[in-house]
Amino acid sequence: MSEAPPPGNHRFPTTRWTLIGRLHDTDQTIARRALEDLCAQYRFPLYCYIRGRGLAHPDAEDALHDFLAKLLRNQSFQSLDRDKGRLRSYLAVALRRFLIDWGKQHDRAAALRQLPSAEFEVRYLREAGAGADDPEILFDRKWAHALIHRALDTLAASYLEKGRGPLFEALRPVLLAGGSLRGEDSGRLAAATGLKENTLRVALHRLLGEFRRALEHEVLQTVSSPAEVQAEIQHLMQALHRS
Amino acid sequence: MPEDPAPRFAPALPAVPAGGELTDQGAAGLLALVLTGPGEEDGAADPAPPEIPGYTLVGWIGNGGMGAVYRAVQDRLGREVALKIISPVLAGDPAFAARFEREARTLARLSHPHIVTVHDAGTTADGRMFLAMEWIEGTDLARRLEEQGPLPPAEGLRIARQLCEALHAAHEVGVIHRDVKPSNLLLAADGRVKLADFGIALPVGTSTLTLTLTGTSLGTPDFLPPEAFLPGFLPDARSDVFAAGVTLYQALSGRIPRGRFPPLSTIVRGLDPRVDAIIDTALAHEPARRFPSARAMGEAIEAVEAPPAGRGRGRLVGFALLALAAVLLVPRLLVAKKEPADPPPAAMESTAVEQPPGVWIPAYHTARSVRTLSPGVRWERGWIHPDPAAGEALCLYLLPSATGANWGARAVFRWPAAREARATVTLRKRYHHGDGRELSEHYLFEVYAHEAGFFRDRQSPDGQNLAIPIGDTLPLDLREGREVLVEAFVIDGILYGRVDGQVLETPTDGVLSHGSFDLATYGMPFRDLAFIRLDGLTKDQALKAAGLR
Repeated sequence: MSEAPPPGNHRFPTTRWTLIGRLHDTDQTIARRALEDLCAQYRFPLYCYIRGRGLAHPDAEDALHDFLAKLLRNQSFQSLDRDKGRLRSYLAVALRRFLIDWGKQHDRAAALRQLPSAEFEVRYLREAGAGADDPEILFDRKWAHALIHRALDTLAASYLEKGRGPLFEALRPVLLAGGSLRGEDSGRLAAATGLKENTLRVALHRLLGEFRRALEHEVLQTVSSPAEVQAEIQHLMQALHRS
Repeated sequence: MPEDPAPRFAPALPAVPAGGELTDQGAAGLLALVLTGPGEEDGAADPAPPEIPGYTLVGWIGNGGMGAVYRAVQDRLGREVALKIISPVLAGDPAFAARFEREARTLARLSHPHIVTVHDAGTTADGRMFLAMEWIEGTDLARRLEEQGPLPPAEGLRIARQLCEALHAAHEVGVIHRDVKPSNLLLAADGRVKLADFGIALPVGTSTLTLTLTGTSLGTPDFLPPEAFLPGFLPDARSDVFAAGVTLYQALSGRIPRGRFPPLSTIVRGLDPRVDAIIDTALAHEPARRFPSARAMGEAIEAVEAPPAGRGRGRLVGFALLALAAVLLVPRLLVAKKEPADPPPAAMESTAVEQPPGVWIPAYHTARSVRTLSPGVRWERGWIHPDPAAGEALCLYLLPSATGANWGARAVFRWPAAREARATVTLRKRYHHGDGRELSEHYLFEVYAHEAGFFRDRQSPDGQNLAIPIGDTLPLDLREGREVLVEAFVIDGILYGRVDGQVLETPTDGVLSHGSFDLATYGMPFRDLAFIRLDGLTKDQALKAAGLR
């Protein structure tokens, strides 16, 4: 975890410490670093969104760069509602509008260069998965993936620190497939980890509990209050189910 | 807790892919776990599914408003149930717990053939709250409409009538459903309708405050009556009547009635035109002009359904006539489209003329005024057509000489085919100087085919513009050829946007307190431009003048 929560018994860190809270910080250094974190963590979902809007790779990179640069220059996060905003939808709405104008501002040469984009787009959408014709849904899915990967990385680091790295690595594929042992050869997994099957199940159960807390922590970084965590997760789940 | 914590049920998931990559299904499975299971690590011993004593889970159905819903078997009776479970995290949140308990109590009070029955409710030792409901084999109306399109009139009317009966039973014990919509109408395999998801139902007279404070959105925008967007709204039976009207319209036509929607009988072949009167009454803007009760609406439907020799004919026809009479007295929602003649020559032009506040002032509504506007437009029977060659954005400055705090502007747009079409009303535009340069900043209400929302657009010191969203957005579905009335207001620091009969309300972020405004169209034909000054009025007067109260 890059940001340690403040000491105390709170299940969640205060918003002062979340990504949204830091983006609002009056200290420009903190706000700027938060924006850099944001760019690093959610660049890929944003990129996918732009591709989903039909831009080919070089233009998508240019547009993403311009967008992030403007976010930085225009101190945009002052208008993100600290009390009820969600970073994900905020970025999606801002980016969609930005892209419309970005596309118009780019010269005719760019338009010509994009002639084959229909083909690229079709290919991209096919590769991006069935039903990904809506860039907003694609964006939400990639956003969910980014959150899950962040939570998994946190867990991997913490298991490694406790000397249980191999156990985590053995169970990682189970997590990636949804966290259930159904369809898994739990005997083989137990043998691979040197644990009894029952102990393995308990270990997985513990890992899932830790994953849950890590993921909730990650989601909380992007919403403005703990009460919104569940709604945000449900929204992402719906995006994942719409295929 | 069983000794072997092996899952007895897990959502259907694919085998682990060879590359160990995260799939959408895997991600969905993990998010489901985060929402509903597992408990704290020293709590529940079951990793994947939650454990509810007395029930065996046999399948995951989906996620509802506040928890996951499973198909389960009640061990003791061997009967199938739908089990709704909320996560311990939420159960620990008093607001969620209160809502859940309310749903349980509400449903337990209702025993009706068209309302889903609650068998059992409780909290497990590890803090999970659950609700065991009657298992309905079948589908729901939303899915049915999606799969098979609009219903035949007889079936749509029957479903709407049964819905009205269910609502009336709920209203009789003081419960307003508040979220009537096709996905909450279960259709049993034997054809019966069952109203479900009383998750946001609350007894008449209960303040919505405690619920709204949790940030949980209540109701589904398309099915909310107009008054729901006003502050201090307390739902009553007529809110549900409105939603039932929307549901009936959608069931018969597949469309949601928004803005100036066409009468059902003009789009549904063979439909009894009396249904138009039912829809108009159910969807009346003023609650007082709607059916006074769900029963009255159900009876009006029954009158249409009934064959001429049907039972209780006299009484039913009486109701239908009443409904018709009500409609004739109400200014109809369906405004006949009249071709506007050239208005009187004293028309307001873009030059500011002092007018009293609270009065709509038309602008650019004669061919002459349009010609002064720009050489790149064409006037055609009331419509102003921007010339695509003259540039895609046409901005009309409605009141250039003064700046104010409270304003409104409106125009009717004819929606084009272009995917990125947009209509914009700018409220409070201000220029300021940064490093010796003039930079602009403004609030915008922007309407796209699928969404509308507010933005604040500002230039950075190096002249770069970026529009950033403020507040929520409004889902829309504007098709080519639709005529769409777009209105935007700013009143006491609150931005109001109204499009297609829906209202979006968002506080400004306080950056701009005064400014002028304009209206921009991106290649769309438009007409009936007007603006309204609201400075000098009380907030209440301004809201009334804007038609927001």
